[in-house]
Amino acid sequence: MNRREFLKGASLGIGAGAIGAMGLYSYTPMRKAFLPEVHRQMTDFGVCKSVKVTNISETSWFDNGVFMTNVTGAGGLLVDQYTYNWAPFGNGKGIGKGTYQDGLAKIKPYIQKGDLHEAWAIAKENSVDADNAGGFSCLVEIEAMDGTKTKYLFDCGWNYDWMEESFKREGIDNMLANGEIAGFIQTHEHMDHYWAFPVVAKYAPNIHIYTPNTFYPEGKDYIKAAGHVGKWTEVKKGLYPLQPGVALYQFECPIIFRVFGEMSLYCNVKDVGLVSITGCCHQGIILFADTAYKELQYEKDKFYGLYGGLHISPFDDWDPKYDDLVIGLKKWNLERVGCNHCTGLITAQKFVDVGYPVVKGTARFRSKTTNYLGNGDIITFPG
Amino acid sequence: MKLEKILPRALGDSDSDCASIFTSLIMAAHFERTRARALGWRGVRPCASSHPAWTCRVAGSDHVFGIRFDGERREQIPGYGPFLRGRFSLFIFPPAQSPLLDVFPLDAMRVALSPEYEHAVREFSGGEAHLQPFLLGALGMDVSFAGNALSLTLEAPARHRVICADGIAVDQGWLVAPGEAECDVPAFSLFLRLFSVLAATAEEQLGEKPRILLGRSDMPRRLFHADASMAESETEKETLLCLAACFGPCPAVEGEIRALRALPARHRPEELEQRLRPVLHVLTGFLGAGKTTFLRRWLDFLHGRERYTGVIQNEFGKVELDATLMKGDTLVEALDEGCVCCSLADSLRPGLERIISAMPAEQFVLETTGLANPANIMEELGNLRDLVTPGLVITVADALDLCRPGQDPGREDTGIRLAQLQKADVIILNKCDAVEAAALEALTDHLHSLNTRALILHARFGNIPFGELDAWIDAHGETRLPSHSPRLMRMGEHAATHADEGYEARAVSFDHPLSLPELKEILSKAGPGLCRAKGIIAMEGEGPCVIQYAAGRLDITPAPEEKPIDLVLIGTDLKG
Repeated sequence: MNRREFLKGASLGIGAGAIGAMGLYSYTPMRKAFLPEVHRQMTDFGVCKSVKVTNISETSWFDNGVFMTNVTGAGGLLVDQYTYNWAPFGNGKGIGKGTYQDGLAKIKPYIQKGDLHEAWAIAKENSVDADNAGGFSCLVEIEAMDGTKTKYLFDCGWNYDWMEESFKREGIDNMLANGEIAGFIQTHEHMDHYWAFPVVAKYAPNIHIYTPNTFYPEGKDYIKAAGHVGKWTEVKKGLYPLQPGVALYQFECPIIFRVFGEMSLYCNVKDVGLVSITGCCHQGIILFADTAYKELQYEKDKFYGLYGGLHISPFDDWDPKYDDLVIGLKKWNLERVGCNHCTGLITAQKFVDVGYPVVKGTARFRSKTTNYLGNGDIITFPG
Repeated sequence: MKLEKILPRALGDSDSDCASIFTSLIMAAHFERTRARALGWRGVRPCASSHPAWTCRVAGSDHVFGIRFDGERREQIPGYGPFLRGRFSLFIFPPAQSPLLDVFPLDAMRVALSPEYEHAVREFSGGEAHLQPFLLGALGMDVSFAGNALSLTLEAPARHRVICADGIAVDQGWLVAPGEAECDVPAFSLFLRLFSVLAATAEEQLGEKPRILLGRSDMPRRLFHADASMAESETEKETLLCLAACFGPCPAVEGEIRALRALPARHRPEELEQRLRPVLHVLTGFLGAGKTTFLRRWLDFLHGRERYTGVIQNEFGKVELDATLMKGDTLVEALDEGCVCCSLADSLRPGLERIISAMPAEQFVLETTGLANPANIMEELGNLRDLVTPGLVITVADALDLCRPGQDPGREDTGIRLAQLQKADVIILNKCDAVEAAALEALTDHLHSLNTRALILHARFGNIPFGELDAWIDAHGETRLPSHSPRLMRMGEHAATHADEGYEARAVSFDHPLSLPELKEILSKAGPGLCRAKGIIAMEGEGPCVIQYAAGRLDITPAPEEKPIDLVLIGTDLKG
């Protein structure tokens, strides 16, 4: 008898069917490793009342063509970011021939004096396309259930001049100097998120900083070289609660330009749901969302909103028709999306075209589109 | 062997360090798509909603593989020191129509034939009870705490075979006759390609060749009885195979061992996969079909995946509107006035050389003028093989234009338009939102009849599932693409050029902002031969605007730049 024909004809479903009822169950010798279904861990990390994000800068670099010319010219995506000869670690030897030590030696005296403008000017002379550098940074304000507000600076950008200007525009310099910012979260070691760290250290050398515990030696040294003297928490893989309703999560993953590990911020907003803030989401939106689903307990079991850059996946999908960020996000039914940065202008346009709840921006301060939250724009959760 | 090349921290941070190592191995392999493909990867989908798990495809195999992290333990291994020993379960999900399923467990076939199968495989997280019949092997990962040794081990029966001692009877007779196999899957060989891709990935990242060991041991044959009990045969044996790739000093695999000289079934990349030279795709499409819109969306897809792509643009008529619209997206090399297919063959080589030297990317797109005949371009590309590997010919077709009311869908099947459609590997049928479903279906059928081998994708605002383009190249390889087939000409025939068809371009500038009626009048006065108009001009009360006119549709949008660009009118027998 043709078993395929028989099984097609039987009353089938993915649950118990004709064969299951016969007691025929898989008996592969490999089933010694069979694990029971794992239930969601649903860690309770508390709740907060609201979250407000101020976009200080999402323009990591201003011209993609120039940036891609740099990357391909230096040898591609596997090259160590400290060797591209990007500012501020330029040594004057040209594209792909830089070192952290050479570059830092040229600017360190100026960093120590707090003259970051001069430090960047020196770096510019020795680097490739320094004016193309911008940066990613935002201010996250958490309102606790009792109304207390806590501010975190989330990444610090790349170009000293641009970030100094952007900080001043949003009043971040004063907040740092006055000790109004409770912590500085460095999501990952990429240049456009991290290399303007001296600007943070200049105003708040004592600030409590959080980084993944997988920074490379150069990245660790830079924290000290920038003049930081405060507490430094190196976050291990997994969940790290910051305060009720707010937790970091460190995803272990290798990232282009020789970087390892990225942290995202999860906020559980009372009666609303989960709000996530990402730097680039290099681990991929699928893993990012699955992890929240599996590991966290959040209000209404609802993935409410997110802010930041969105990489869909570090991989091609094995089924090409699903290889699309718009499809990848659909499953989560988000209510408020504040995407920008590496999400791509046109992907944002596509979200808007298919009716996604993308919060529009004002296209000021060198941001290029109103389709997403640009520099100086603010998003709140709940909206 | 230095583990820090894969995981730059000491072991012991978590209870899933082996899962971190696995993640790192496959993610780093995918930084550059070309490298990943040369290693044999054909797509990965991670999942973390239950166990850390992944589904993937590899070259040379139709199946989707499932990999689930089961756990790890610390063990002191005499002579080797402390090791972390991780274990992953391996699943094989054949396509529902695959004959391989006929030898899978009955329960596996039952699941595979159910309508939920495809979705269940996509959402695989390793804990699903109904997918357990597909679990046919295991992957071991041993890592030394000293960070100087790593081994990967595939363990699977040569044949996963269960004999039904009493048979399985159903109303119609024997589903499995007594003494026959209920399943008989060549499990080990099915996993070989996956394992070799993994081991080759580790080899590349660790920068050293592994020792390859094959272990063989017996295990009792399993017998299934009518009372649903399972017994082990006392006389009949099955073979369990164990293949290990060892980097650094690792404990041996079990069983009778022999060393192999190389990884069996290792993927050997074809020339196109190795990308010794960059690939050049050619983008064609009649005037105003939406080539630049499509290209910008494609670049967004590619650049979001760090697949940097340079663009060479060629516009008919002295206008650089497309280059202006693309500014900041990527590096654009604009070729001079004229059309690359007939008058610019000589400037294409220097243009390509310039852009490749400025940005040595893996691929480039040549956006041709709307009047270019791809047949002529393909011939020219043949002479540039020292610089580039010819890739896809993609033709953007304007559904709105081809379905204009009262006109036969085949009306434009002459000369250049016809060549653009017939020479395409992929036809992007754009502006599908603007035509009725029935007309769209008729048009799609018509295009299929013109070019039976091309992939036809429907697009709205230039959006398609861009992964389909990669899949199309994969399915055909470089040599079997329609555009690469030899060109046969009938006697006396020659490939059409726009000069043959009398196309001309005319630039118009204005010294005052135009009102909408004025603009419409200019377009109308140009006569019925007008195919296309574009430029950046000041509009009354609006400021500088991008003007795009094609197929009777006029679009006016705010310009990204203040600088005006002459309005260029393109068509035949232009009046006014």
